[in-house]
Amino acid sequence: MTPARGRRSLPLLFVAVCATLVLALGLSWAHDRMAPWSEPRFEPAQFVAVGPPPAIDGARELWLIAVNPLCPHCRQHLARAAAALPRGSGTRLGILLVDTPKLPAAPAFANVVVDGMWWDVRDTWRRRWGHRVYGEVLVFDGGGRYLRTLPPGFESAP
Amino acid sequence: MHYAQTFEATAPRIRTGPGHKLVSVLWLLGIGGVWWAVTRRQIDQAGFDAVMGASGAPAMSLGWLAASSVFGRFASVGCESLFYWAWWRSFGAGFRFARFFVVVASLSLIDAGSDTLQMLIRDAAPGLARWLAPVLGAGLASAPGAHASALGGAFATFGLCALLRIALTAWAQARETGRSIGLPLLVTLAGWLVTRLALWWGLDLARGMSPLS
Repeated sequence: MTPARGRRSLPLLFVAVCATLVLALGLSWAHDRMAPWSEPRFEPAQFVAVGPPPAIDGARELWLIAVNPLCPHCRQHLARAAAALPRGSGTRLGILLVDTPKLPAAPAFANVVVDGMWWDVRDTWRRRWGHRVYGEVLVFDGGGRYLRTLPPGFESAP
Repeated sequence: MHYAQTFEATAPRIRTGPGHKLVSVLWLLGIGGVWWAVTRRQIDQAGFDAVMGASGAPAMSLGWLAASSVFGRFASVGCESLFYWAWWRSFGAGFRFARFFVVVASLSLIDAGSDTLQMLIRDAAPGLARWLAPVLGAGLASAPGAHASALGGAFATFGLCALLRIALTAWAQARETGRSIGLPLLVTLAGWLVTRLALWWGLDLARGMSPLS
């Protein structure tokens, strides 16, 4: 190898590594977009109820906020969702503990007044529904059918 | 003859002494100061203080957030400079990393100015936002952080300011390599487009099926 060619090989390797990383990112994105994600559906049997028995019977809508006990902003998102909850319309608020391999001994949100708290023990939220943003609110009708998702920090109920 | 060939192959070299290096370091510190001020204002406008305060995080966290953002900005400038250095060096062209790093850091002041103007317009004259979006960035037409899609978020900075930054980055490469501006402009445009695509894909991967707004 000539000295000039040797001086070029390291920069060329760097450019090749950059191109490979971008290509890998693009392939991961394409794979993720083509994955057969299921539409969310709230079936209490899929989850483990935590704390007091859920009080969602007769609810017209269930607002289920995805919370991770280690997420520092989730309490703020929960307070905002509670404030935006339509009053007197049969809408209930619940917490879904996600990305939590082991149920916390004393759940961080045990003292928060909600109508139900569930532990996503099967990782349904991430692995079947494909959702990944903590603090979002999944809205279901009384039968558990998915209606919409509100992003974290939404200003008011649509 | 040998000297003539060398002169043609690379840009004219100006010897830089310790004084010039000191000026460069002070200039970079000044750029860091500008970015610090812009970032603190962005944090204030985004209401991060309320969120972090509610989560029990100490006030010092906001300083660390701003500091890490400024360091991240310089790391990004470093990566951009390193890529162009590697690109031109792989073709055997002369290219000075440190000098180009200072140029790219200086050009980031265009972004700082654009970000500051966007904040001022959102605060004081929201009616102007849609008219100035083609200049300052398409994202100005929507609420801060509220992009309908990851694609919209990735291309939120597209505007005349971004085109000016691309053109000046290409001009700096042309000057550094002693070439005409055509190929550097093509490389810079392609680099910008690829980074926007990577940002789009990265945002999509981070959010999954969760909506952004």
